[in-house]
Amino acid sequence: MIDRTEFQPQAYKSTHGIKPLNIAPVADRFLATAFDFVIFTPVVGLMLAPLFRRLELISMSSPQSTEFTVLAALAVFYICILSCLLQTLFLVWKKATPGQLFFKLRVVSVDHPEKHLSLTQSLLRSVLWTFEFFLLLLPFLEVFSDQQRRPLHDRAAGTMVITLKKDAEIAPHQFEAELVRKVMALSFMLLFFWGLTGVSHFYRMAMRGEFKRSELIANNYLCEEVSRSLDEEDAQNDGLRIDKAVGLYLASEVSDDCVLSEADFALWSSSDEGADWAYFAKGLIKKYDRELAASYFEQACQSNDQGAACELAKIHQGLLGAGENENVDPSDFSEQVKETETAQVLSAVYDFEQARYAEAEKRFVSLKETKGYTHFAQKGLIKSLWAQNKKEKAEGAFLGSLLQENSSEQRDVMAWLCLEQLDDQCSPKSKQACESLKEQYVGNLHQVENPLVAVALIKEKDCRKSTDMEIARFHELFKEYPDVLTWTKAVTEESNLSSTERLDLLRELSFRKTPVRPQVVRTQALQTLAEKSLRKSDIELVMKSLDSRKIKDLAWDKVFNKMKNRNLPTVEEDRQPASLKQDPSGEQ
Amino acid sequence: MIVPWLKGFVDFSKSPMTWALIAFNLMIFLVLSDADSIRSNREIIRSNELTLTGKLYYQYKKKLPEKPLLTSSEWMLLGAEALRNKDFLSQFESLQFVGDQVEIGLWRDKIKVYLEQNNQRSSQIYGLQNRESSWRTFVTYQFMHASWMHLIGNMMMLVIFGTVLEMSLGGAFLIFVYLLGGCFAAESFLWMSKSSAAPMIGASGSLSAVMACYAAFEIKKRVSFFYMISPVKNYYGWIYLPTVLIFPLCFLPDLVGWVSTPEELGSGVAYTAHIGGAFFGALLGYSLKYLRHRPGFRIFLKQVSKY
Repeated sequence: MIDRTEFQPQAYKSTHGIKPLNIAPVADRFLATAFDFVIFTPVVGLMLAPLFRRLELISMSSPQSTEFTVLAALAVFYICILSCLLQTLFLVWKKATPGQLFFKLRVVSVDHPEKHLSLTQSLLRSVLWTFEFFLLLLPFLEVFSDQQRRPLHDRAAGTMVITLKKDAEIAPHQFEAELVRKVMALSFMLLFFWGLTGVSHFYRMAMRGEFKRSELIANNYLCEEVSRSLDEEDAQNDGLRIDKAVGLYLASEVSDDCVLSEADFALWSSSDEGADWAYFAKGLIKKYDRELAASYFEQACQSNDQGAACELAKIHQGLLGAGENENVDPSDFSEQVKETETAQVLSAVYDFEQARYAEAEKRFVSLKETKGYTHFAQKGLIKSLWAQNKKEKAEGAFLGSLLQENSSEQRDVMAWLCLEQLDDQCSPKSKQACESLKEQYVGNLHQVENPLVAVALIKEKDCRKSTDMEIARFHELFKEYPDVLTWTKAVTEESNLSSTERLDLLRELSFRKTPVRPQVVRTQALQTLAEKSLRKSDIELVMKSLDSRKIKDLAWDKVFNKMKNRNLPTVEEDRQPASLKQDPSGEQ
Repeated sequence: MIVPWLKGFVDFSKSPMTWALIAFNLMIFLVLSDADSIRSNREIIRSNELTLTGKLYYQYKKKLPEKPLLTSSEWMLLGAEALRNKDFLSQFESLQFVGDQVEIGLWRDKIKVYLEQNNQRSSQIYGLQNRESSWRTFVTYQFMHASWMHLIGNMMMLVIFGTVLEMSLGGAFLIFVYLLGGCFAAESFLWMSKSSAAPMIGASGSLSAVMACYAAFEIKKRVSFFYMISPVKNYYGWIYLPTVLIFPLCFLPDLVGWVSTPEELGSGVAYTAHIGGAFFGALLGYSLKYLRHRPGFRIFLKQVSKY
């Protein structure tokens, strides 16, 4: 056993031998420090109140801004400076901080314990004391290992903390001192490695250029796609911006969110310009909530009852009550409406749906020249060329579009073209479009997310009896689009249903009141039904639904043709759609 | 860990009035606690609605800028401020706003529901709101508490300082300081804190008066605290803090809290009420200390402390 008295002179003799210096108890020192914090915090808080007030506000509103970082750093800096100054002041004046005064502790110079501390000594001690906080308080642990219980700041400044009470502290045991030193060394090592990894992480981030956040934040107020589609001067004009945004939205070139942010910008800025368009845009987006949409359309006219947006809003409001297949008739548009891009998009769509393919082609060609509508116009052009039986031209345009970037829009066109070809000829003969569509999916495990693509692939499988696509691939899609599943059951051989069951499923899809998602399933079902059903009631229903349609686009034409091919007596000449009269060679 | 050491305080016979006050506060809290029964309409506090409220409030406060440049969190901050602004809330129906009129119409309805539900809460009825509200709220607010933590914290302070004050000056005097200090705190709250829509409740204003009164009256008395750094000998024990330390330890932080709270945000603590109560208590305590050696006053004090 080690005799403890050997290590610890209870009272340390100063070099001058005047007074014994009693080592201060660690618990007292700890409490004194806590006490100092309680006393100094409000004082420092009072001095830095404006800074803290600002900091709190910024931390709520934009905690990621540079302003916050700068303010926080300033606050830390000022707190350090102030606490250093306050400590120095008290040490020079009273040889103790307020907490130490209260617990009867004094900081004395080891060489001259009876004298006051010098300013240099006090300043050095408090600066080091503050700095030790940035080293995670580890140097404070020395109070458990040093024989005189003098941590770094005490030894550097040549000071020592003594107590005026009688119960003085003893020096630490050798083992204790050794243990604390080992723990400190280990902690510093860990701290060092942690710092090293941190620094190298930031270094790598900086080299990869990931500190670009400020640029990203600056850009999210307005929709970027719209800005890109406009010339620089026009981009500043609110009225033009929102018209462009609505046009692009109707051409499904931009998302809902994009148009919403544009509309909000127009509405909440001080100028009235574009408010009518903004309301119209919001009404379009909220069209599934009829009441809300109606009130938006009304508002569009209230803010400007002469404008083009008001006219468009009125037309759309009239359509709100009608079914899914209604569409805007652009022939009633006034001159000022016809000038807008929105009207051009609507007209192109309308012409195509009314089977005026030659006019639609012209419109799509002119839209292709307009900035921003590339995908929409390309798709429309291919479709209208195809519909006019200019199949080679259409395939050429399609191949041309393949040269551009690969996108979901493109897969849409591929699927459409594939379906058209299969509708033409449903037999095991190879076709270009279906092949390029299949290339995207066969041989890899891409999920099929587009319902039109799924319908095309399933139809291809059914027609050409190909085996390279598994029905299981569409499993996820069936969950989201149950109508596609129903249709698949009705047409593929794998479902093992009887022909009556199949026809029942097709009937449900064809004549259901509620909308079928996607719509192509309904036209496909009608086509099959028109071909295969022997029931008279079915034929009558198909005729009825053909009659009730205002839009007679390509898909409906085909239903009509299939009906015609059966030479049923119910078919009358005057029910023929316009396109067939113009182009009798048609698709028969 | 440092906690007040309650040994010697928990004596019902020596300080009946303090314990009666505590029981009364507890009872009121249990009876009027409507935290679960009437929840306020939270819909208006969701981020979208708060952003919208902020945008409208901005128009109410200032002219509209050329382009709205604030970020959405800044709008939300403004919205939170708007919900605390009495003037704005009282005239929002008649104000004309620029912006999405459909959305604004829906917003007006929601705010109306929110305000109606708010008015049914007991804190709205008994809490201190503004000069227009009844004088009764000056008294009733002193016995209302918002939550268990609020109640326990306040009652702890009442046990420590109420008992000692009652033992030296009597129960009637304690009630006097409690009520009058509370009124003083309320007055200073109304005077110093502008635009607060949330009603003030809680005994903390009255308690500040009680604490300050005792601290000023018995400046050299000590209050014992128990500390424990670790359960090793010499690392736990009692410390005796002089009562005068209450001023730097309790009331200085209140002052700091008051000056460093952004006006836009407001705070959950009524610092100004604490300051007012403390000011009243200190003044009273100090004048009593000054008067206590006059013979006539000593007789008066004896008479008072009998009750």
